[in-house]
Amino acid sequence: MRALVLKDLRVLRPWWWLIVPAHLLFGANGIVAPQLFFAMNVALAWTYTILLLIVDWTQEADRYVASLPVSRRDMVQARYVGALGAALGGTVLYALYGRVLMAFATERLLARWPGTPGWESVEGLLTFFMAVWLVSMAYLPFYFRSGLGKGSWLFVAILAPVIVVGAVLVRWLSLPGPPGGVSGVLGTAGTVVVALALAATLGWLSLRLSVRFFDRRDL
Amino acid sequence: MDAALELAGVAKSWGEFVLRDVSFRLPPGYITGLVGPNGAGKTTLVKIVLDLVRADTGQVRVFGQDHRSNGASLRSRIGFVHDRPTCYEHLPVEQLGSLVGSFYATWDEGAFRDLVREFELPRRRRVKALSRGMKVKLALALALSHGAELLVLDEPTTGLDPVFRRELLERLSGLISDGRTSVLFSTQILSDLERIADFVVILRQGEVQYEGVKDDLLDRWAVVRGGPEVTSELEGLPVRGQRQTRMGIEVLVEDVDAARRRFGERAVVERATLDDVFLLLGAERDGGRAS
Repeated sequence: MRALVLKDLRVLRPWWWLIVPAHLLFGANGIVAPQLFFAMNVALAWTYTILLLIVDWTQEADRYVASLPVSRRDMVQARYVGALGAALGGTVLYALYGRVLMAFATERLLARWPGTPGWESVEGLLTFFMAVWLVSMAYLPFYFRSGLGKGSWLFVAILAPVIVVGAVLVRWLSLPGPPGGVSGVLGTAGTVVVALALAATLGWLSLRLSVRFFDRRDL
Repeated sequence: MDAALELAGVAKSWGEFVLRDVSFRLPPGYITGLVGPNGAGKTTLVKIVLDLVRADTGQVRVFGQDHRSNGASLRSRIGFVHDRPTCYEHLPVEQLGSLVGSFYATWDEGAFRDLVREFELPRRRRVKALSRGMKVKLALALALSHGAELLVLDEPTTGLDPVFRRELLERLSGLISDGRTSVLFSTQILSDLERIADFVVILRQGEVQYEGVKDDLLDRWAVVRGGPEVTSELEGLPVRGQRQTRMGIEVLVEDVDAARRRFGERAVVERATLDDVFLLLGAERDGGRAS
């Protein structure tokens, strides 16, 4: 699996330079509102995961790589390592980039940021990481079952309504948004433990599904 | 001694496409040519051998082992060229080489460099800038740089210039001379098969129509060409196909001596070429194909 992870890093190397301009272009626009900044950075972090899938799909690389001396399980696991790296890296960039932007922000802009920015607290960073992780863990089984094209359509068709309905319910019922509400009960340390346990469980379930799907797929 | 590759009763249905009961054996140190028209199932079969496509039924054994239970380890002993020969085409040739090489414990970087030089591939050029023929050469260089004992090549000669095609065929012939390396290659170019294959598998509409030693086929099979009266004299001959032509009728017979005895001077009886076999095998007189 190590060779697969290193392969992914090498394959993506020509696009690494895009990280800075992508954050400048999208992240800077997002600074006008905390929610937008959060959402933009989640999308960017997820892009780091999906970029490799796009490269692989357009070049039919799955078929080539599966012909090498690697197991399909290893191929799936390498993707999950990549997704974890993208979620962690995205979280670090979210924090760094937020601080840099805020250092240059005007008074007028700062007025749009009531309270502590997300990257200033453990809970905020955890929320960011969990958001990226959740999207990746939900998406990858679709990718491994049906490929990038059909898998993405299925993902959007099945999960988008769930997310929209969930968001509406949270708003209408005034449910506490995690983990702010959770940390009030569990404390920061407890929240971190619970969130990481949840992330691990989600990752394990998603990985199992993906391995099963990919093992059956004809390439 | 275990066969390098053995398929027994392999079947796969995929939408309208059906591969039925494919069985053949490739002994170590030999070349098997897989031939068939477009859509016959050659690429599907190659994918099944490499475990990219899962057969519905049947068994594939590579070096005597089930190809699924020990897949990764077995694939380290296999070199391959797909119909789309390369991937990660944004990388330069030498980087793709080192990337692919990182998966093989037996990778020989020196051998890869030598092949790149021999095939006149530009080391620093991106793969996407190469022609189809050059990509095939690169795929071959990758397949030949880790001491593979079994080469599985899906139409490797397609898109190659005649000079390199001949060189490649000679190289494949040279490779098997160690008695250890075996080659399975699919093609539509029958002259390639005629030149180097030891065994031939003819696949049509997902079914094996012939599987056996190429020289047996060329030595024993005959084509009978004559007028319409030929059809009335076929009783008892091992007829494997026939077709109507503007000049009369052509019949593929499995026994050249029996055909000569039967027709004497009344019809032209010639040893069959692979072209004849490919064209006539399974064909019915009206131009259709026997089921």
